[in-house]
Parts: sequence; structure tokens; C-alpha cells
Amino acid sequence: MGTEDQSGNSVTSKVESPEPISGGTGFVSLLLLIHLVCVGVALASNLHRSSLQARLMEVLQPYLGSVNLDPDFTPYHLTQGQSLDDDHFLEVEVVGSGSKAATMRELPSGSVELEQGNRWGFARRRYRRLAYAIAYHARSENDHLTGILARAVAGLVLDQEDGRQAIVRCQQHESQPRRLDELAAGFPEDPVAEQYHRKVYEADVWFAEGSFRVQKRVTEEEVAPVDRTKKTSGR
Amino acid sequence: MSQDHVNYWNLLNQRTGRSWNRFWFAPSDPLPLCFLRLAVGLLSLAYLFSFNHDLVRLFAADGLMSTETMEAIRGEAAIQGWIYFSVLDLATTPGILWMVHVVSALILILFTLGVFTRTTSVLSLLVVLSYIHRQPVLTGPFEPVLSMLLLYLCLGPCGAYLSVDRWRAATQGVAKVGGEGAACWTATVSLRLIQLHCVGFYLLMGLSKLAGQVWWEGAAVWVLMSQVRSRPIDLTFLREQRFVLEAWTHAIVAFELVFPVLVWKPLLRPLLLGLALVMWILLALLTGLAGFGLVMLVASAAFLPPKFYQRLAQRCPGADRLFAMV
Repeated sequence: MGTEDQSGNSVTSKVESPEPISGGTGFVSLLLLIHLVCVGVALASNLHRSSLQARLMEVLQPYLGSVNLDPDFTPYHLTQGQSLDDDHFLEVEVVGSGSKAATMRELPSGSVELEQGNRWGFARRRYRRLAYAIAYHARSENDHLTGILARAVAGLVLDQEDGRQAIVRCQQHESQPRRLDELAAGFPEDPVAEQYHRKVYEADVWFAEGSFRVQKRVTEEEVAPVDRTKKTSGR
Repeated sequence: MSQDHVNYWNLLNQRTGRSWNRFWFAPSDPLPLCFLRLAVGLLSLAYLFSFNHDLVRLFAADGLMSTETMEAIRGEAAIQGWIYFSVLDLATTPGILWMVHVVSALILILFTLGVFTRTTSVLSLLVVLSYIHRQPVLTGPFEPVLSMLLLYLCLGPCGAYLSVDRWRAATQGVAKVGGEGAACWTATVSLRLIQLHCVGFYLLMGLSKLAGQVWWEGAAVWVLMSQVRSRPIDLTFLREQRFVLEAWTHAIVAFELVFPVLVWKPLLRPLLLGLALVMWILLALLTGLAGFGLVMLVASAAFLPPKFYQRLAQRCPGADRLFAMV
């Protein structure tokens, strides 16, 4: 019978041990140590990285990446109260050919899935993560990556809709403060109201010459305010 | 160097070595690993089936995560493509994609049932990694924990009990399946790695929360509660219960920081595992991260003593006949 060690595992005494390790503990120990150092570096480098950690992660990436041991900036903190931690969602407006009317719908192919309320599943979270990725790269002004993702999203919808042009929008759904009397002017008590939506990224995507083209639209925040007083005085 | 110094270093070396060997290499019962195999197999299957609806839409040649898009996202890292291998890359048409998906599901089913477990455990890891590598921007906190569990289950005899392998060996009158079914050091290594990595995740979660002001101010639970698009149920009726919300916030951080330290104490372990159950259920209700909560509970279950699993096994109706239980 086994005895219990300090951590609760049943440990069989050496005499009764049916499969004692014979030699080789040194080699296995070395492998274990190397592995644990790799895992420790990966976990410690998840949220913020020093230059040393970044360099180490580069070196260890072939091992950590191949078995997915690097969480790679996964938000295990759940929230830090930043605007990026709010809910984000994607909208694709398909611009109909010959018609000025546009269709608005939410990914994935449908609001149907969302309306069913299956908020526990993996599938729904996947699209939320996509919106998060676009918002993250839009905020860090990484137009290359946002362009790639916007093209992929629009391409998917346009293929299904037989369309040639779409507008991809990533919107933040701002959270409500705990105390309703702290609500800013113009924000209703209903937390799902449109006023809580804030455009984070918007791009036109169209099909031309055999491929999808992307043109980012400038958001309201990026537009420089017009100084009308100066203009007037200059006349 | 004086003799005292030499003695100190010798003593330190001997004791550390002895403790290290006892911690990693003392043979242990593989039964906990077998229960973990069942749970991890079921979670992996749930994860795989979650792609059923979106398989072609995500991974087809013109899908959301086509190989072209993936290469563009990975940029320079794509040069080392072998790191992010995926069997899904081989699927060029929707038909082949579905075939790969079905075969992947079959592998995971065989692993869960414990059929040729040594082989299917490795194949299961490759299957899950294939899906993860094909959609890195779409993965969340669930995937790193799942791949960690699958990786470590490959090392130990996780098919020793509760498996078709065991049943086959019993019906053929073989006492052991390739030396499995008895206490062995590989079971210890496998279980210890799961325990240590699990503790690492708890520490990561706790420490990263300390970097956020909302966790210090006690407002984080409200922030999560107020996210109308991701929360599974509306708990905002608690908005006036300020102290409840703040206490809940602080309790999450405290638990995640305390768990890695105190779970090694046998006396406190049942209490901490009970609290983990409560914490993950409440967190799933708050955020909808049910899969993540479940996989963390499974990882935490590596700390349950073998006696618990033995009692559980004895209570399974017909388990002795069906699976040649201990």
C-alpha cells in the first residue's frame, strides 16, 4: 500500500515499488528543469515584458509555440477597467450593387446565433476575440493587421451575400457605471442603448481585379478639429 | 572556504536532491491521471465540436482564417511555419476539411475511452494544437490550459484504468498493460507537472490582476457584470450592494494568490479545492467563461488525493466489470 506524501500523492515505498526509476534521474531532472524554466518565463511574460523576457521568449518560441505553452498576452486578468476590456463587436454593412440601401448585420453569419443567447459556448467567444483583436490593433494603429482582419471578415460576408463592397466596423460597447446618477449626459439608463456604442475602427472593403482591397476610414477621434475662429480672423 | 561552508553546501545539496527525487520520482498510483484523461478528453471533444457550425467558414481556402490570412497575421513568425503546424493546412477543399474534422473527433473519442491510449494521447494533442494554431487571434484563456493538460497526459500512463486498454488486458488475462496499472514514477512526473503548471496559471491570474486599478478599488466585478454583450446572466440587481461587489472582487484576487502557496498543505487542500469550485462557478456566471472555468477545475483536480479517486471509482456502477477497475 502507498503512503501519502506532503502533497497528497500516494507514494509507494521503495521496497514495494513495482517500477522504481533506475538511473537516468539526472537526465530527466535536467529536462524537467529546462521545461519548468521555459514555462516560468512564458507565464511571467504574459502581461508585460522586459527586454530580457522579450529576448528569452524569442529564443524559446520554437518550443513554447509548438505546444502552445505561451499564453501570448491572453488577458487572464479578465479586465483592467480599460476601454479595451469592454465588449467589442463587429458589423458588416454590405453595400448592394445598384442600390443605395445597405444591409447591416452582425457576425457570425448571423445575429440568429447571438439572439439564441448561447453565451457559454466557445463559438461565440471566437468572434468576440476577433473584434477584440481588431480593436487592439486599431488602437495601436497597426493598419497592416487591422486591414488583413477586415479583409478576411468582409470577404467572408461578401462571399455569402454575393456582394462586391462592404463596410467593416468594429464597435466598443461601453460599460455602464455602477451608480446611475454618474451617467454622462445623453446616456440612457438602458445599458444596451445605441449611445453606448463607440466606433473603434471602420474600413471600406471592395473586390477589384481579383482581390479584396481595404481602405481604412478615419474615425471621429482622428479628425483634426477645424479652428474656425482662426480662419475668420485670417480673412 | 572553511569546513563549515563545505558542510553547509553538502547538506544543502543532499537534502535538495533527496526532496527533488521524492517530489518527482517516487512512484504513484496513475488513477488520478485516468480520471483527468476522461475529463480532458470530454473538454477537448466539446472544443472540437464547437467548430462544427463554423468549420468551413473559418478554415476553408477562402475562409476567415485561411492559410493566406494566417501567414499575413504571423508575419515574420510564419517563416518558422513548422512551429505552428496544423493538419488543417492539408485540407484544400471543404470535403477534405470535414474529413479531417471527423478523423480528429474520432481520435479524441478513442483517447477519452482509453483505446491505445499511449498513441491516441499524442495524436489528441496534435489534433487540438492543429485547431489552436490555425486561429491564434481567436483563442482565449481556455486553450493554453487545455494544451498543457493534454501535453502532460501524454507523459504518464493515463490509460491504466477506466479504459478500453485496461478492459482488453483484463479479458485477455494479462495482469498489466505494458507495465501500466501499477504505481510508477512517470505517473508522478505527469501529475506533478500538471500541479505546478496549474499553480503557475493561478499565480499569473492573481499577479496580473494586481496591475489593474479596478481590482484594487474593488470595482472589477462590477465592470465584468456590466458587459452586456458577454455576460451570460444579468446580475446588475447587485448594483446597490457595493460591499458585496467589492468583497467578491477582493476574494477573487486573494484566492488566486493564496491557492498556489497553500494548496501544497494537505490540511488546507480540501478547503481550497472547495473554494475553487465556488469561485469558478461564480466567475462563469459573471463572465460566461464556462469552458475556462471547467478546464481550470480539471487542472485543480490534479491536487485531489488518490484515495478520493479510489472512492469515486468504487462508486461507479458496474465500473469493475466494464473497465476492470482497481
